[in-house]
Amino acid sequence: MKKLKRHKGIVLFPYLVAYPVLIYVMVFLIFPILYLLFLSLSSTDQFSKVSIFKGLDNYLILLKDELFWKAFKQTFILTGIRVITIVPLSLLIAMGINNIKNTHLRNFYSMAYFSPVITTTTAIALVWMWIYDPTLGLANYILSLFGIPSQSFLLNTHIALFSIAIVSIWKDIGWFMIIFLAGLQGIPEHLYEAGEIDGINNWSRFRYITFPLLAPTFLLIMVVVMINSLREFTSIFVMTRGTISGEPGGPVNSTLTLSVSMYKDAFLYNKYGSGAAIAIILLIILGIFTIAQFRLYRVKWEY
Amino acid sequence: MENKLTFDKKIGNRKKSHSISNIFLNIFLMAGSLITIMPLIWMFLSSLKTSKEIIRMPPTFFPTDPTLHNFKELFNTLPFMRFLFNSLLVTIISTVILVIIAALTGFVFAKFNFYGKKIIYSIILSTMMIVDEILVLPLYLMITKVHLNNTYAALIIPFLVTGFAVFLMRQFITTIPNELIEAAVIDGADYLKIYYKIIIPLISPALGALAIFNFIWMWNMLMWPVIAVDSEEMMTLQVALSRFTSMYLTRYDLSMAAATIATIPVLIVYLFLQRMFVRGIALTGIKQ
Repeated sequence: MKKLKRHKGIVLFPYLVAYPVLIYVMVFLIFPILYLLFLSLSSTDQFSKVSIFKGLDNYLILLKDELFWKAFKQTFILTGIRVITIVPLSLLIAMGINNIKNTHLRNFYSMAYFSPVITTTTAIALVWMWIYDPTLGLANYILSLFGIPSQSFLLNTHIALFSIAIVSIWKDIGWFMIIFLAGLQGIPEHLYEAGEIDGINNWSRFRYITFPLLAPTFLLIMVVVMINSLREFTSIFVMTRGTISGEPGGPVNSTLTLSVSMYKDAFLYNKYGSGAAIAIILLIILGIFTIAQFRLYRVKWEY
Repeated sequence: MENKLTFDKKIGNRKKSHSISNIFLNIFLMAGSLITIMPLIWMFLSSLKTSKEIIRMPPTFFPTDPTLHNFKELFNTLPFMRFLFNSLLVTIISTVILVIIAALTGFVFAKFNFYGKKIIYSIILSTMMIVDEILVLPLYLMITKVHLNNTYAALIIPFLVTGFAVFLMRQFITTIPNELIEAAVIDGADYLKIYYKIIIPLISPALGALAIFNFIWMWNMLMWPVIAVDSEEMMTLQVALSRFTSMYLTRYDLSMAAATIATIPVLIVYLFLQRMFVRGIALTGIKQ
């Protein structure tokens, strides 16, 4: 795009804006990353706060640490569960709502699916902790109506992570549903009419008209869901710290993810080096996905 | 003639099957929306129940004896007003500043040429992959060094510029025709005036969307305030809520009241800006 014509010599205005912003970004975003990198390569004494350069020690220790791999694995399990549920479900619901002709009904559905999005995550965690309560919770009451024995959800190491995944899926579907809905509404009606005349069935309609046109949105949503899942912290932190074990990522580390693990190492055990190394690893993983996301944004904008 | 008849018949069948599938569609959507909305209605209704009713089995859906007692107890035992105030202050101030700076920076990168532009823009964009989970440790050590723990400054200052906000604003401002700006320059307007007289009104939908997202994002922020703040009078609502269950293990009556209070401000923002909100998601598709 052509830039503004210059009128008189050098225009100061852009410098007065861009350079202070650059300084801010350097101080609050770039410098902390370099600092983090430095921390991850050193070990810090808890009391004197003196850092000693240790090379790759922190990383090597982490790579041999079973707990780290457990957190790593659980992060990707959570991410996997979320991607394979959120993406198709939100698309399905969006397509459903898009087919509803009655405006009131349509607004009601959008509003209902969207309601968890506007509810604070910590509040949601509190509500679900009660629902999951082994003796006083609604979940076990409903299970008992079907004759299913009561579960201890967040206290059971086998199902704690899944219980948290359900909450986070429930919370996020509405958000992605809205994005899909916007994408669906952007598909020109005459394409469907053409299909109608050719007498194609619902599946081919989806396969050959809807899906190809929605593909950029679909990919973008997949990447965004992945990024958000890799970062998941609040729901795990609140729902596990509040239980009897009182330990974030508990019980017995069964809900430990990379971000929770970073928090614990850095702020509960004061192992800055190890916490920093986990953060750097998380940064690298997120970086790959963010580059993908950014590429997809560009595609979306062009389309 | 016959041809036309079969054609009409076909359409008739189609309509019939359409209305049946429509019923199924509505059942499916209705069931899903009830599952989605129920925990929240449960939260609101339960906040009005007494501590006795809340542990009753089988549970009651509507409060038999609705009371605001839980809210009273909450405000009496904890500085809940203070938490609410802290959260609102931090969220509103940081959002207003972020939006102003992002639009200004977006304007500059969209419409001006200057020395170092490309490299500065790539540096800003590259920060898009930096999320707060990664920043918290170095930021914590930085604020400790300058003794800013337990201050509003610590909660606000690190979140005033994001790569995404600048990127988004630049995208929208690029679409504004240069002629509009050039005409204003000829009329003798300075760039700051052009910024708030021309740019801001033209990108207000995107600006609104950005503001709403940032509001929600800052409002929900937990990890950083947990780390940066440890005195009770500086706690945000989220920090207070996250400690709630360990303080009142099974006082679900109180925790539902607290959850309700934490939800109301976002609900108000949403109800006021509902249109902008949904359109904003459609425009940007972001989630920070």
